[in-house]
Amino acid sequence: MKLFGKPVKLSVALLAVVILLIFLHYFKILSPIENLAVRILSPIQNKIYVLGVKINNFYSSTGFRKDLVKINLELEEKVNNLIIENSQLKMMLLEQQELDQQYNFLQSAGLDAIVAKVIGKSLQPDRQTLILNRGQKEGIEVGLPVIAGEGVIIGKIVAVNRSSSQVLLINDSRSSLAATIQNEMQTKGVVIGERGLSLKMELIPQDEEVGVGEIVVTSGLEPSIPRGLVIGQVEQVITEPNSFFQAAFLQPLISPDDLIVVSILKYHD
Amino acid sequence: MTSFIINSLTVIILGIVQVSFLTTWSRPVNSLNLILSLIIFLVAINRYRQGLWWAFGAGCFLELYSFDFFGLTTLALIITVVIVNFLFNNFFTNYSFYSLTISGLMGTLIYNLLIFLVDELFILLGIATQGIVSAALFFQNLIWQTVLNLMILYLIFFIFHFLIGKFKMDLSRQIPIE
Repeated sequence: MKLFGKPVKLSVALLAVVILLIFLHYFKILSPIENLAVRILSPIQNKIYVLGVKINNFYSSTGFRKDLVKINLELEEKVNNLIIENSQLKMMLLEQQELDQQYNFLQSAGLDAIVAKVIGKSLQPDRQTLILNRGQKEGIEVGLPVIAGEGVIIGKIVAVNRSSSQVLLINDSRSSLAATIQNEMQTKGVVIGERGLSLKMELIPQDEEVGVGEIVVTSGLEPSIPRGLVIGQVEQVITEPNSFFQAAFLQPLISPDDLIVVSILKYHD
Repeated sequence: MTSFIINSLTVIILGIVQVSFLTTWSRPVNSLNLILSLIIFLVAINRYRQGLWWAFGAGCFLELYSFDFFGLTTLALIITVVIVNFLFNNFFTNYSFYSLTISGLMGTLIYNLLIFLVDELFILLGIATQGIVSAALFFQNLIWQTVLNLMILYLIFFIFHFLIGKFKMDLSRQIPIE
């Protein structure tokens, strides 16, 4: 048995080149090329990302199981509407609305932020992360909070390259956030992600009353995360008689799948 | 030179589709690894050399957006190509539906397990901080990725078969085993 075919030299040579590239990467020699590539490709990637999100939303709302005739009629109607609408303008408008919302919030809260576009998601489907087109060059650091809409926290920066960064979304199982419920007692706890599907607030003292529908915000106990960023709304409270703590499932206010533009909050006092 | 430009552009386009388009789809469709499927297919149709170049090119592109250890994706792709080719040279006599299924299955498993093992090793050594979310979720996604990759491979297989009939292409494995 032979491990390689005829082009044995090519496979060995390519492996050697990869090892060389690894060294060059860690000595930052490749950084200019990597930055240039990301910079050139990120506008195209953002457009394709937006297209992907739109197609996915369309199919999610339509549903594959519907009757084909019905789908056909709906599609015809949608096509007619789409001809009238200028899709490019619509995309820009969507982005602008999102930006306006974030800008208004940042102005009223007196926070400083960097606007970033979403250019992709993690290559590993089990990880709930987004790739943003802002990195070390723009002052992005690990731990900074990322918001969308009117002050809704969506995650924290967990990895930074020179021209891009990665956000760990709050619904990822590895995410945890110090949180407060906006009730009379200002109940404290920790919000963790539930396998990318939902949010759970844990370590809520058993003697404190928590009601469905109450809003949960960041507590400000973490150094880089300001107080008052909205995390979600209490959907269900779980109380166990023999436990010191109770827990609550939260309904996120923003779906991370629809995000196109986000704001990365800079450090604050 | 023209061939180099066409191949490079194809790899970049595939990379963009993989990173910015396929990942936006809901589970389990986002598990599909289009690049891996195409590379396995290239090896299956006796384009080992091209498969290696694509693995290298696509790997380098994906490294820009992968926050794993730099080089891991490229190494995993190249090693997968080498192993799939080894299977073809030693166990499969010809290009067939059966051999394509086995190579698709093995290729997907090898690629994902390599990444999984190196990731976990780096977590263990304290070099990396981001590991897999849960083993159960990882294996669930692995099963989905295998199924979806095979579906894409079958689709390419049938399209390719149609083209072979039309253009009378020769697919017999001509690389002599040393």
